[in-house]
Amino acid sequence: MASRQSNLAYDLSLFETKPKKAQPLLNVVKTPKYQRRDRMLAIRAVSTVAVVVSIICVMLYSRAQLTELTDRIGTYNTEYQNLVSERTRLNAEIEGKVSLRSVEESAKSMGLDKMQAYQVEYVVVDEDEEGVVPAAGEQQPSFAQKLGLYIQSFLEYIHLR
Amino acid sequence: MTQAPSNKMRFRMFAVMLAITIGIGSVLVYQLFNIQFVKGEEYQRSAVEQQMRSLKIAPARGEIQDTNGKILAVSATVWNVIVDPVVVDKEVKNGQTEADIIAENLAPILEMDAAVIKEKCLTPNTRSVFLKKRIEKPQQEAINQFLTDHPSIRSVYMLEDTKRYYPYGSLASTVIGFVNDENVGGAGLESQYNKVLSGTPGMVVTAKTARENDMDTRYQQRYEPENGHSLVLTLDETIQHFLEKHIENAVNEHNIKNRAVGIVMDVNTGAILGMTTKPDFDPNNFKEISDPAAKERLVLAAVASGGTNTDAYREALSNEQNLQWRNKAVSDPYEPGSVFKVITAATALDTGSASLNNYYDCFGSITVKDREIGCWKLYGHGNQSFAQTLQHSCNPAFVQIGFSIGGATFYDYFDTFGFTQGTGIDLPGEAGSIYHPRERLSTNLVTLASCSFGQTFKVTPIQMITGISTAVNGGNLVTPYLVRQVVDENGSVVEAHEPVIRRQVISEQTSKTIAELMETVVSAPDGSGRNAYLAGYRVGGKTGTSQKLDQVLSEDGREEHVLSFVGVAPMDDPQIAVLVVLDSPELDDVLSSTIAVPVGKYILEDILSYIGVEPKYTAEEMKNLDLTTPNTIGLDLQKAKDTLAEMNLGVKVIGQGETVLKQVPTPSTQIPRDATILLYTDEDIAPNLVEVPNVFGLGTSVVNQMITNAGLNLSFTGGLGRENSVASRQTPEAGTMVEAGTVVTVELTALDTAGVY
Repeated sequence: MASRQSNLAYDLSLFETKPKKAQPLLNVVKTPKYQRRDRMLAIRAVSTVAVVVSIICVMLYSRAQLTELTDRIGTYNTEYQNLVSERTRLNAEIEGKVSLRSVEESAKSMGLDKMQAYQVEYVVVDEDEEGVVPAAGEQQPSFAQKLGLYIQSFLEYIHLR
Repeated sequence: MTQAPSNKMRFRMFAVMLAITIGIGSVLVYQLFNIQFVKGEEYQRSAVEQQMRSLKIAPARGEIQDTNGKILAVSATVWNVIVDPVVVDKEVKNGQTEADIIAENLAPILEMDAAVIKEKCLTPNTRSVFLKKRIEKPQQEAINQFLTDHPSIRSVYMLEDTKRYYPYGSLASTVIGFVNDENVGGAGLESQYNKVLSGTPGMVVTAKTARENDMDTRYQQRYEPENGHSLVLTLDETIQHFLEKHIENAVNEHNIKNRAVGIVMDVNTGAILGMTTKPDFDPNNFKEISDPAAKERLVLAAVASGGTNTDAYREALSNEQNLQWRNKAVSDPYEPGSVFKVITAATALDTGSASLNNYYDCFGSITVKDREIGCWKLYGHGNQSFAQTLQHSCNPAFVQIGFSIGGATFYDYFDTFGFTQGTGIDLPGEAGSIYHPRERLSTNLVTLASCSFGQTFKVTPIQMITGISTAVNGGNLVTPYLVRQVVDENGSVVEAHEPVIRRQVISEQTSKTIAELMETVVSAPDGSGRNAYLAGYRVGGKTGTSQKLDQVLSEDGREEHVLSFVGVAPMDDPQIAVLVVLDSPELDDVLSSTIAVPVGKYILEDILSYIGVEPKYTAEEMKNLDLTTPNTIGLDLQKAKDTLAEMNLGVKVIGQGETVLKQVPTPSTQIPRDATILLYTDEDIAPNLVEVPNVFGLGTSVVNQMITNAGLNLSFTGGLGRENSVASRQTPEAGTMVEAGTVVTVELTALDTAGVY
């Protein structure tokens, strides 16, 4: 608690706004290291802006390309479908031209006629004459025949026959 | 010195700001509520309409193929050429308006009159006028080129459409039908299977820019269309061609007034291999009338009504169009006549009311109550066996057979054979039969008598051939059908139709007996169907000539008839049945009543060799087979004579030389076994031309004499039993000048089958 018994006057100068002390001017001299740093910052800022702008440009360009390509795809698809359809139509036309009716009419105009029965030569098959082929394994060779076959093949092997 | 705001002022300021905030906020909230909830849907719709574009994707219509995969109907893209008259520039530049330029350039491309095009370009009060519908790619490219060359012309544009193509023209037109201008099936299978063929349309929803261009595919929603399925039919294009060729010839040769029908059916499965009604139409131009008689009627209608723009003419045109689209094979019942005797015979044998050992008398007619029913043979057939009654097609005998069956049983078998209901064939417009009720047949003898031989009731041709198939296939009533499979666009089978046997009608033994009896109708020397005889093949059949009792007489007082023939082959294992129905031919001469039988024979001849049924000739038939003229040109005369002698051919040498320079008939020509070959050995010998005599209607011996006397070679073709046969057709025609020795081919027809009922 402040002393009320003092007869000292208030030092009102304490409450007055003191004038600001003049700040000494600092002469900042940057070292090369800090100079480089500042230059890099500027370059980085410019590069960043440039990159952003490039990206935006590329995006816009690719969008434009995409739209153009989409249009072209659509056009080619349409053309393809039309060609498929044209192929169908032409095939149908060919079928009509090679119909039996057309062929017969053309043949008739050329003096041709369809084959008649008299142009086919028929062969009389005598059903009594027939040969019987024995099934495999039905007739086994005898021992003598087997021996003879073996000797024959041996002689062939040694080039005597 | 300024004073700080007091509390009161602060409060007032606060209150005003609050009021403003609340006011503005309320308005905003209200608007948000209004936009989001009250009109939200409406704005969404408008936004979608403004921002999005939807394009319908038409599905491809399915194809119709024959049983071998040949395409009978297919759709392809075409274009409609449209002009917007509002956009057409009316200003004259270099002496021409835009309409002039369009007309001048498009007229040759569209094959239209330039004046018509110009008129369309100047049509008032409309934004779109069709210049031409459904143009094809070459024309579309030409128009595109024109528009590229004239970039200022923006009034002409093209829109895609589809067109149905029928590569084989009128082949099976009444069966396949057609699609109308809206690509909806209008008749036949196109109509019956319209839903299957049409498919379901798709849609592409895209976002569009302010300039109405589509945005990229990320903003696109595509709903693929479901293309229509294709139909694979039981129809065989080759068999159909054979059928149509001979039916058409019959229509032209005999002036059939009320159309002709031909059906080829697999007797065991019910598969329809061929079906035609002639005259018919070309589905590529389905509105055009193709029948010359119909065109004449329309001309008369135009004259009578005062032009082609009248209602009366339009009605006449519509009637003629409907008539030509009508499939008579399923839609028009007729009186079957004697063909129905096969059914009566089958009924009698199956019920045991008759047997092969029964005999029947025919004295030329039979009296039932007060009605006399005549036989085609004036003095009657005398006593005949059951088999002979069918061979002779004797009406009095069948009346007796009908009585032995009884009316009630007759009706029951009539019903079981399927004649009282539709066959169930997958075609639109199948008509029902017209028949007597059971009570009437049971109580009225005259009705029973006439029904026994196929008169006084009507059935459709498809019912008749189904009944005949039942009689020969073991007794099974099958359902005739045309569509074998339904396949999708990748060829995968979506639906397959299996043959349906509805019921057993007669026993297998009865069926076998009937087949044998039908064979004797053709093979017996006095069989009514002997004109259908085919050397090397076992063919059975039955003829029919029925009176159209419910129709008025023709203009010249003649009664109209329906001539029909049903043939089945091969009889050792029946596979196919052929029915020929000729409605109202012009009967000019005594041979006309046999015209249906040869038609059936020609059809069977072509079909049997096509389906791989090889002829098996008996020794007798081998003896009568014609030969091929050998080539003796360039040979030494003696060697040529020896070659011909080996083949038992006669030789006539003309000239003094030693080498054959020319021969008549020429090598590889068909010649009879007793022919004479003329060998020319000198050059500069003028050919000896003779006139081919007219042998129509003459007996075989007279024909032989006339042809031989004219210095020509004669070859007979035709049915069995030449003794009672006459010439019905000859090649070359009478009056033609030919070289002596030329072979004249004469077709014989059995004479006493004329007028068979």
